[in-house]
Amino acid sequence: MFQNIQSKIKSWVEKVKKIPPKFYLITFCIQFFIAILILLVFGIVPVLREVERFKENQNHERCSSDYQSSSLIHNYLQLRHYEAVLSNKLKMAKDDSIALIIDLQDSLVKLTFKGIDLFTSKITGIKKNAGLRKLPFYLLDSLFSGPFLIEYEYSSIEKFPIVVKKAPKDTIEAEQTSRAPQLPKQSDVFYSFVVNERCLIEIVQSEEDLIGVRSDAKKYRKQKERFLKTKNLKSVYTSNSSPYIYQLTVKIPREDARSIYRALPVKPAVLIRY
Amino acid sequence: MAEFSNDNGNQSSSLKLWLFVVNLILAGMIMGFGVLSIGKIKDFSFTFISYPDPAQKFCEQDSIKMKKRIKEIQAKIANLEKKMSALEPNDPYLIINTTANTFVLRTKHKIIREGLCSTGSYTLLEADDGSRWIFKTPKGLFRIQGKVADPVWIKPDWAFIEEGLPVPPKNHPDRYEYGTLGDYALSLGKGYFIHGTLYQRYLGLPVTHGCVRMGDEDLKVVYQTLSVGSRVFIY
Repeated sequence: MFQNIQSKIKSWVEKVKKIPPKFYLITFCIQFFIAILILLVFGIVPVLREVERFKENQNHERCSSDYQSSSLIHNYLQLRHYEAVLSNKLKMAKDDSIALIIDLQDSLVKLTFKGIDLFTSKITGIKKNAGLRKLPFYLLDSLFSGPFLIEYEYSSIEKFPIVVKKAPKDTIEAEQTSRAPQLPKQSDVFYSFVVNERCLIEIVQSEEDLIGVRSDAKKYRKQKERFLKTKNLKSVYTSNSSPYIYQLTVKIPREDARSIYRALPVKPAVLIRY
Repeated sequence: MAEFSNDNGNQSSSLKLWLFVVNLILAGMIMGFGVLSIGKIKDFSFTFISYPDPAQKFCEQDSIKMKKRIKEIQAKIANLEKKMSALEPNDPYLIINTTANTFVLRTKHKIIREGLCSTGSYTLLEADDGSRWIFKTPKGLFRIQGKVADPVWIKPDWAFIEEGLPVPPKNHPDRYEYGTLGDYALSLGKGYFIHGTLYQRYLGLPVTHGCVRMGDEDLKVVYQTLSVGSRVFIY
């Protein structure tokens, strides 16, 4: 039997040796063409469509004056952005619900209510996807700072961890059920908010080790990936769908992330300071 | 000779079939990879594509104009910061985190005291007659409605149902419990209080029926610092 297999392999090797080099070349060319086609259809074209949206609103005059110091422009834009953040914060203070502020300048995530910072957590890591990384500051300000109203959210934890308890029939049954309170279930905290159909803000625990049920974290990741894949694929065949999803991920300590998620209302407002 | 050429023909057609099958499989694999990593392909595409240059947007303005605008914005920012600062209460206020079960008693400029507390357990109690109670601490902005020393707990219906006891009529002596709420209680309205507890070991855990429990020393400071009308933020 072993000899039989050996001889079969030998004959296959012989056959492969006989294949002319032209075959490999043609195969390589076809596959290369397909790969380029996929890069174009799935990558370049949607990204170009996204960038074109910004170019349409641009003034393409060439600079004629003696100056332009880019640091001056940057300073101006940063101040303008800060002004926008402050005036939005002031607007949000009039609302009757808790809002989220992500301050990338000071690396802080804050819960704000009626103009008061109720809770502050230090950001330990910031991750942006390529589109957001490359987005110039002046575009970040006008389009991606908010305040946004969350459209959907995905989370690895419950918003309201309700435990249902049946009332005991008598004192004996009440005695039997332990009087000691149950400790809250250990769980890992990951959640993301989708805003404007084109931006995904993700808050994840900075702790690498998982303490809760692994399937919860896995389920969350699957949900998020499914959303991104669906949106990305949709953008290939429909023009009214956003061609690119901007992603911002911030890492904060697990318990801080939990406090923030549970404090926020179901569809909270989010403001980002870049 | 005829046999030889026939063999060659067979070989070339089988080669073509091979070429077709191999390419089809590889194309399918590339396509599948493309669909699975579409986000990464888009990110990779940004290597070749850039956004419009910001300088072009502002090039029509000269540096003097720009400096003037910067000064204007700085003045606006100072004004906005003043308005923001005015929103913070000047008198002491309390912030309660119902997830971490912690509190911060503070003024505009400094923290007076912080520590552990206990808030609602998020238990939904279901009685046989269909009555339901959810033991959660309400969230939002509250004001201290009243302050009491040596408070007496008037037990509501659920307190009896939870213990499997028959519910006594209103104002029945069984409803009055002394010492359970600690030395002080601060009312938040709608039956919710900030009070003390006999179960100090459970501070930091969500175990209450909706009220906020504090340790004796913390409660004393809160009671002495906050007055009727003081703000309590619960989130």
